[in-house]
Amino acid sequence: MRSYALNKVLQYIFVLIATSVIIFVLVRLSPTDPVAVILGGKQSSAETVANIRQEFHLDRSPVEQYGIWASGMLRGDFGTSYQYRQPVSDMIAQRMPVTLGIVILAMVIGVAVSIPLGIFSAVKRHKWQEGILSIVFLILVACPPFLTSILMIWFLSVHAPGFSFVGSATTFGEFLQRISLPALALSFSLIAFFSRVMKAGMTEELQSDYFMAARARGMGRNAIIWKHCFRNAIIPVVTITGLEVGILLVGSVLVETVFSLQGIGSILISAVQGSDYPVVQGITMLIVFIFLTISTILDIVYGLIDPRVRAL
Amino acid sequence: MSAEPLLSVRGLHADLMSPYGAVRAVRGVDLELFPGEIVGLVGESGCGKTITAKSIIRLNNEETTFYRGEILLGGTDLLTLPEKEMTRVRGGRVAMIFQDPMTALDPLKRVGRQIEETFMLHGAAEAEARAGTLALLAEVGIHPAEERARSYPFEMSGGQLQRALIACALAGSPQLLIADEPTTALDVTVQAQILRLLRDLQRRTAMTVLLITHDFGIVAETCERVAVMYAGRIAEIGPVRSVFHNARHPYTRDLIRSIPTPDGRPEAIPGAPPDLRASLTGCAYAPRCRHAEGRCRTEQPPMREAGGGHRFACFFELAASAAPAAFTASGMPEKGKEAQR
Repeated sequence: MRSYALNKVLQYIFVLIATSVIIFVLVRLSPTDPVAVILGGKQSSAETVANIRQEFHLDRSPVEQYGIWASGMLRGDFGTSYQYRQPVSDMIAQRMPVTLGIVILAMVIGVAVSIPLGIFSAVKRHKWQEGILSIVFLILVACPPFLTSILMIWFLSVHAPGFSFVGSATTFGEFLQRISLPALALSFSLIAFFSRVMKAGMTEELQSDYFMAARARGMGRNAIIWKHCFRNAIIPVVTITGLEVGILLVGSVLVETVFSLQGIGSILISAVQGSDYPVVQGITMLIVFIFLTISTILDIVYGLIDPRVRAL
Repeated sequence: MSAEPLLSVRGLHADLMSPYGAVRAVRGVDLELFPGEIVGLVGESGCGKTITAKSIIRLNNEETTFYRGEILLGGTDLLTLPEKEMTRVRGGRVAMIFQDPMTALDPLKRVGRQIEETFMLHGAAEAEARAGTLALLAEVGIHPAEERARSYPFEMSGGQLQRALIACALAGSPQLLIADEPTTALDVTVQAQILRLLRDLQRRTAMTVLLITHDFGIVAETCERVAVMYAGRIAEIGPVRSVFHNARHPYTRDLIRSIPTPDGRPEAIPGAPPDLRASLTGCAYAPRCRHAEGRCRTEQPPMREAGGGHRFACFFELAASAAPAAFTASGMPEKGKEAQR
């Protein structure tokens, strides 16, 4: 297990470095001159331009620029925004809680609801309960988060005018209230997807040879489901959780906009439009970092669950 | 063999509901198993032998399976036992092992742990279960037991896993062990070892074993009595020696002749078993039988005594001795050649 985990961590570090290079190069392929962005299109003397080039290290070679950016990130310094002239790390720190909060809450709701539902509908195979749940999953998976968000806003404004979901938050309770709706909207498709994966996994386990063999040993159905099938059936859910984090991070950008919340999404969009390289690089790198970190943790969890995986 | 049977199956019918219609898989099976004997149940795939075995331990899908008849284990009818009590019978009084040992254990849990679990299901405390597991593993020939108990199923070979599964089945000290094709998935050399192990254990523990197989050779080596099943019924039953050397039912004779031997060509039985969704009139084997005549197709042959507990369901009194030789002399293969010309 230790060598397996070590292997995963080394892979993680390698991929992180590789993606940072790719992100850096891709952003630099843009034809826009950063100086023009920084100056905001104003006429300026050659001297000013030279100063700016120096200030933002644009006079250095691309390799040196990468070195400055990468080593800065290790210290938590993501550079300075061209547009806003403020540290990118500050901008991220301000907005990250909203985005992360939405993603985490959506994930928690998704997992908490879909695992029991998935198991339930696998157990009730070919019964009316399964039929109803299948339809519910189908409706949920077909609900785009932006539409669900708009419908929720409409519904709440009409039926619960007291529930405030916009504006800034000062207490944790308020914060939760702000992020609850976008997280719920995002969690719908998650519930549908996870439930179906859980159901498929559990259905397979219920038909497995070892299920029958365990019954032949005198174990009750429910005991087998919890003691044996659950661990086996949860493996695919763990796998897709990693992928789904990436999708949620992107999806969060969308619902933040609908709920006019100050998350990562809005600055990322304006940064891309304005060729604000440090911001684009920083946020993209952060998203990659979160995604990879979670994937690596899940890979290790995967190894903890399945002895065959760690023996590889 | 004592006079009181441990298990008696009486007029067992099992109808399985499927999307393609009701399959009448078991059509009136009578079978008695006595304490301390090994009985073979042979037949082709789909003849109902596995369904019969799974009926005894009630592992058929009960929502789609309809039983008739009775299965008496020491006086209690297992077919009417509530599921809760049946759970105690399974693994306790009646245990079962399966065809593919590689998939019969939870892949994520240590082998020893799963055997301990079985002990604990049948009333053992944790420490007892652990000691019992190690003792059983050693008994079924898994060494070093302590180390192998910590293995995961994927770390063991098929033969070792089948041994472990036998240990698992023994954990509840069953009176009856149903072994459903326990060696089909194994190498031939390992097959012999597993069969010997089963026989040794059976002698030591005095339990009854019902060995299901499609291989007459295995029966001849391992069992004391054999029941031959065809299309959901018992065609012939009796002591192995008597049935093997003195088969009275044409199906049994054909089955024996289809065993490959070093010097003779195995003879395949022409045709295929009947569709068990249909209702059958007369003898189910009639369409494939070389002796069949008019009444075989309209009337069901009764079970007849051949002496010494040997019974068969056929109208004919076939020549009692040297059945296979007699068949060769009758020139059946030549007939086949003529037909080809």
